[in-house]
Amino acid sequence: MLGVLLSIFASLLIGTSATMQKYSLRRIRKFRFRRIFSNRLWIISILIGASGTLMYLFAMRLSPIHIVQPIIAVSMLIPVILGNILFGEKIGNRWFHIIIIFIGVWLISV
Amino acid sequence: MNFQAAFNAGIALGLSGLFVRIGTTGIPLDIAFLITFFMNPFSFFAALFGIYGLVYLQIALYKNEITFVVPLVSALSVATPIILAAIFLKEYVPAMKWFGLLLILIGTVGMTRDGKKSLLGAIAMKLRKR
Repeated sequence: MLGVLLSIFASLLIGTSATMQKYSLRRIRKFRFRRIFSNRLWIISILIGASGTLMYLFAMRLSPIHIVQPIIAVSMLIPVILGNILFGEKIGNRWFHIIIIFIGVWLISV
Repeated sequence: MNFQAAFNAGIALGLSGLFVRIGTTGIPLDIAFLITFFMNPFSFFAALFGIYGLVYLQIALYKNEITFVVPLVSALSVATPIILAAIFLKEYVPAMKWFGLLLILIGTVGMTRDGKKSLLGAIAMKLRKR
């Protein structure tokens, strides 16, 4: 049970981290690593992603891999949904391929 | 869409995941888990590829839309360790996983072609028109 909870939290954290990274990168006019590394929001997003990865590692130890991996696969959809809502990115025909990729990732994870 | 950076990020993160998997196999979960993990030589390669993947992920996220980058990177990072483990570690891959890899391949190719010229893109467009 704890492994499942940890994997749900890990999935949420990893998904949110990617969205926050995109949000912080959108605010940078010119791509320079010095600017990125000095961006507080970007550092927080990396820390969130790292904590999510650590939770994932511990979840793998507490629960069987066939339970943890499909939950982690959901983390792929979180940035897609948030990107559509927050950044107004048009998914268009891409949704079809996103679903196919998600099913593929899920099948591998099970 | 510039998919080269996303492609590099996906492959690098997949390799990192493969080394993490090799490094964590057989390590018990206790207080010394993280110390044992970071002392493992495989963790060095995992960290190396992880940083490489992270840098390319930032470039990909900066240049492209997140709805394009994240599914592509996730797909490649999941598929890479399985293909490499099947080839180099001679791990058995069941038919369901091969089917999953095939779906990932179809989806990835469709994404990189932006869904306009691919067969699946055409089907998706027809479905949308309905």
